[in-house]
Amino acid sequence: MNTHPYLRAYLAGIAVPTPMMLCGLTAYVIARYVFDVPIPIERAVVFPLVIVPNAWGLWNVVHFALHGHWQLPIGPHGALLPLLLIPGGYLLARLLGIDFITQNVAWMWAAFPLALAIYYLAWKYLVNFCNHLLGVA
Amino acid sequence: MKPTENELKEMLRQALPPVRQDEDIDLWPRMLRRLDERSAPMGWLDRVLLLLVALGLVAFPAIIPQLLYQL
Repeated sequence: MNTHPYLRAYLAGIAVPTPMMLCGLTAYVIARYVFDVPIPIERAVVFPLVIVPNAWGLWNVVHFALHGHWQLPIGPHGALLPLLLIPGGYLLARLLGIDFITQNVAWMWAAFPLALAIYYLAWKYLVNFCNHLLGVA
Repeated sequence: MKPTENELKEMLRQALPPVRQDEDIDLWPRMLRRLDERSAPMGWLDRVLLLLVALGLVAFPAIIPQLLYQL
């Protein structure tokens, strides 16, 4: 199975956040339509539904492409991704006027270390497992 | 002279490459083997990290919407 390694790396990367999107979207929908939390759901789901899974896939492609050159272990490599995603998400929230993100900047900074830890563990165990499964570990 | 049915079959067999029936085509057995392989167990440091993440989420639930959005 030596064909299309970059495509397989991309697929292994998006395989982890894609099922998690279901949980996130369910939480959004319940908060919005059951508990009437004023979340602009149509705008708020753009980032987690579109940007984040593709970022995981592309980040895994970068990890595969760096093989043999300058390569971090996969856990720390994954932990670097929130350094791009969190500022990017905040910027998009400002552009789209998503208040529950932009008005709670302190909580966003507080989420940083947790995000790093979650990404470190997710990449070390889940993405690495998918990479192994698809032959790009 | 028209070729017979058997001759036609033989000509087709010679013209077409043989169909491979090994694992080069069917990737599922290979996938099952990889699923069966045991992955490395979680180290104690990672367990502590996971515990800290869980405690952080319980202690500061206001972080959860941020994480759901950003991650």
